[in-house]
Amino acid sequence: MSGPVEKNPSPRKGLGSLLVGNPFQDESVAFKWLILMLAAAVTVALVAKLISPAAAVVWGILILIAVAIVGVRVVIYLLGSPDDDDPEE
Amino acid sequence: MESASIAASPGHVDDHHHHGPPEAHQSSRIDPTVLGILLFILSEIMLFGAFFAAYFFLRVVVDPVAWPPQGIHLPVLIAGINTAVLVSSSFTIHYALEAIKRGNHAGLKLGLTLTWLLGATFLFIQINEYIHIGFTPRDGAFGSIFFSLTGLHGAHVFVGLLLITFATIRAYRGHFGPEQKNHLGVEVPSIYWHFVDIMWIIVFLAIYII
Repeated sequence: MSGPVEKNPSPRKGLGSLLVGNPFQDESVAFKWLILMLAAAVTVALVAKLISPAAAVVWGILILIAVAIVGVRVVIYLLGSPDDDDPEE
Repeated sequence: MESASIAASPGHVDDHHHHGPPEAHQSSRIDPTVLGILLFILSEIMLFGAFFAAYFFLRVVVDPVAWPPQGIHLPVLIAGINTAVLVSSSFTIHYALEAIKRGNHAGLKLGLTLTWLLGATFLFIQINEYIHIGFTPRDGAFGSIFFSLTGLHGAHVFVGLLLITFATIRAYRGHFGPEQKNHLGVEVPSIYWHFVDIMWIIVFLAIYII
């Protein structure tokens, strides 16, 4: 087997710093994601009511893109590289 | 990595005790079980993504002026109350997990029981909504995609309820403890439950609000 697994690794920059930890390992981090999505949903609903449904769709897509960027960064960091495990380099 | 060295050198001393194929290479940054959950959730996101793509495609193609079609009135208030019920259940399951982290078994049982009741209430209200909503999956594209998307989510809630049922039974039997390895049976269903809640928030926004 490989060496010990790092616990809760995560990028520490940008939006990711708000969600330090691994949501697939730590329930508290997953709960933070839920709160963040709830807040985002409120803003989308407000845009839909105050401006238009089309604007809400655009705003929702922008939020999902931002979440996806953070998510991809977390996944890339979690998976790492084979070079990380080579002690000779 | 040791697993790599086993594969590269057949004469390694561990080969005397190792049966079957060499152990798989794995990252030192992520546990294999966590990677499994990660891939499972990613596949679920893609599944829901396909249904959302179908929903918005139909919404644009069928008749962008009248959506939902004339004669169909969605019970937004009831769905909003149902959303509050489901979101509340995420708070109660979070409370349950925080309780067991402090060794509070009574809090764990209370939190899990409340979560189960709130989840069952959500499903009951949704089934009641299906009965009284006034259209069926056969009534045009809107009916089809409405029941498909909400039904897909309802199926996930049902699976989550099953997981919480097992966790609750185990909690009443005193199976869990404060250390993480001793309450994984609560933590993993909790993560799944939060995912199901987040998906419902998006489904609710797409169908009832936007």
